Amino acid sequence: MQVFVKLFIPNKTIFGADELKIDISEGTSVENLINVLSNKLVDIPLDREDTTVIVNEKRASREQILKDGDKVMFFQILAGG
Amino acid sequence: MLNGFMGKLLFVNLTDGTIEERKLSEEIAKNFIGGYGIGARVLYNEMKPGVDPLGPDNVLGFIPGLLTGTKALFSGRYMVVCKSPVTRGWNDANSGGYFGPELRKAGFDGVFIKGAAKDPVYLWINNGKVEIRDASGLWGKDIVDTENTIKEELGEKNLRVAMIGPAGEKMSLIASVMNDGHRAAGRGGSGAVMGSKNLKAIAVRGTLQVPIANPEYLKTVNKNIVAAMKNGPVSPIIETLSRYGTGMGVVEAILGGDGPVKNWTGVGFSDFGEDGSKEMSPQVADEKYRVKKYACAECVIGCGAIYNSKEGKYAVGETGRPEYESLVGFGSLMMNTNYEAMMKCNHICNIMGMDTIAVAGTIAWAMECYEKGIITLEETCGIELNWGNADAIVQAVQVMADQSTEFGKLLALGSLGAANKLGKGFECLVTINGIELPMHDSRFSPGFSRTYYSDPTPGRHVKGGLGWYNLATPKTKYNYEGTGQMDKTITAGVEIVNCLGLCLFPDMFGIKSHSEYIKAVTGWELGEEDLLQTGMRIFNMRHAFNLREGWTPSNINIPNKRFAGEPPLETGPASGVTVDYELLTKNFVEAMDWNPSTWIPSRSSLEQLGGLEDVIKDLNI
Repeated sequence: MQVFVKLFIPNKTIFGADELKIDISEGTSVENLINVLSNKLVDIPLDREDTTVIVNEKRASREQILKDGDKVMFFQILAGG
Repeated sequence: MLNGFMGKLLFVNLTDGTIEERKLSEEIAKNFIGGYGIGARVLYNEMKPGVDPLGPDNVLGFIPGLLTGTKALFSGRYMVVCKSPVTRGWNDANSGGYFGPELRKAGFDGVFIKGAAKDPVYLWINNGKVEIRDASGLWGKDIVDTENTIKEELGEKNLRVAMIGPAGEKMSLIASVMNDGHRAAGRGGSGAVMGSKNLKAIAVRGTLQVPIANPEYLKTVNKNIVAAMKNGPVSPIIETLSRYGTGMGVVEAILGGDGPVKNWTGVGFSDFGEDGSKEMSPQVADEKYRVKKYACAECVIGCGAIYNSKEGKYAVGETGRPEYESLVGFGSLMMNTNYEAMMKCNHICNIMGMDTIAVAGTIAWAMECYEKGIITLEETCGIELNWGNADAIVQAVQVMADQSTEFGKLLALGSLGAANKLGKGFECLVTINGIELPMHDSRFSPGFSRTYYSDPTPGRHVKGGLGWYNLATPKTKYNYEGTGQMDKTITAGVEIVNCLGLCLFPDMFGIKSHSEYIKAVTGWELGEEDLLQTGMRIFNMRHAFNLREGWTPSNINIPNKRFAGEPPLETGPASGVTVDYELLTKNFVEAMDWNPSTWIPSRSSLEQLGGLEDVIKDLNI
């Protein structure tokens, strides 16, 4: 199974890509995905509770189980001004 | 001598040409610290309720923050205050750049303009000397020409200018006060008030020094802040802000639900789309247009930049990089995907002196009306205002600025003014008390709804409350119970940041040393509780100005409740959300110890804050 994680600045620059394809196993939750990504993405480390998770264009809980092909984005307070 | 202050306020009456210097009292300095704190205190004393905002009895103040003009980091800001011709209540608008520090170094902690000149004038403040000068040759000039002409006329290239463009001269309700080419005290129509006084500009030059209690300690505080920025967990975000500016997360915001779409009726992904936002990517734009970096006074982040848009039909040459608010406003709010058109709109607003948020909100309102058949092609004077029509958007901004057509004159009234004049389109308004809402969706961050609704300056994203906090608390943001104390504490904190003359950004990232800076500059020892009290005193002072004008919760103008999700969006990250802004407000009002029906503060709450004895008397509490 694969999910697509949309990247924004600065991760977009770091990875040189618009999105990451992440292989996941059956039953992987949003929380599990965050744990996998927390060492990779600059967005994540502040405090994981800070991050709004959006899956397939709708807000998602940490417990939500991901499905094959899901599109995930993380939204942080850094946007705006 | 009062450390941290120049010790003088300047009062200029343009009706009779009198120039008066008044000593800044220690009591006012300590109680209201600077910026709009001192501004609110002075205007409450100097003005009577009920005056015409565009008449000579309105008082217009320009007040730098307490730290402005010192070496404290991020301290380059000043505030313009007056009674707003838009909301008809208290108004303050905040700008960066270099005007604020220069004004203090020219000898004054604030300048207050009374009356109105018969013919156009400008004020020249040069190291304590003040002169009212003829501005007939400046009238009609844009911001860039005005500044250059004044520099040439006075033979002083290092002066700084706060000024209005043609929009302010024509008293357009969306007119801003501009400085340093692309910095704006934008909101609430302060440019129209300046125009009503026939005051084109205030030019300042100063080489005096703000007296500092402990210069060595000030250096230490600065060093500690720089170290926290470089080595702390927020350093990658600060680097990104420094590189890409306030628009660094604009795509994320639009897709994620923070940035409104299609005049607040649309959704980022499904309506604007990933393709739509491609050109807005800060990386793409920066590579294509960036010329150089720009930083306000005493800023070590430098979130500004100069772009060059030199090709194509929207070319404007060198221009300030559009900020987040302007990008969302001229982008997703109108379904426009053409970045060069966004730059052109932003540029017109800058040089003509208009508030980009109000301009964008007004045109987005007109577009929705046009698409729904409420406004006709005849009424737009031939502009086909379909969603995303970049040519039409640029044309609309231009006619708003120069008022060359009837439609331009209509839009220059702002969206509520235009709806009132036409007698239609109220269902498409996104305004509170007549002011267009900023580009942070209160259905995504509910705390903004309380701030937009009940701050003494309604409809602001740079005032305190739970809006920004909600962006970082996705799990609990839709729980509206027990929010009052937190809302009050954050609100008081933002009052302090603003009135110190500091930028909000470092504070949002947890980079702050308010007590330390105050101690270094003034010598005062103010702890967290003292700052909370001071913030609340300033907030209540602004609120008292509005109460005296007859504001009550029942006469706040809300043409519809779109901002609160009534009806809710059907799709997207804020789908199904209806925000209980009334409960959020009730919680805040309780925490403030205001009467729940009238919002009049309790006598004991004001007595505890001190410095508001006349307000207690006026409110008869």
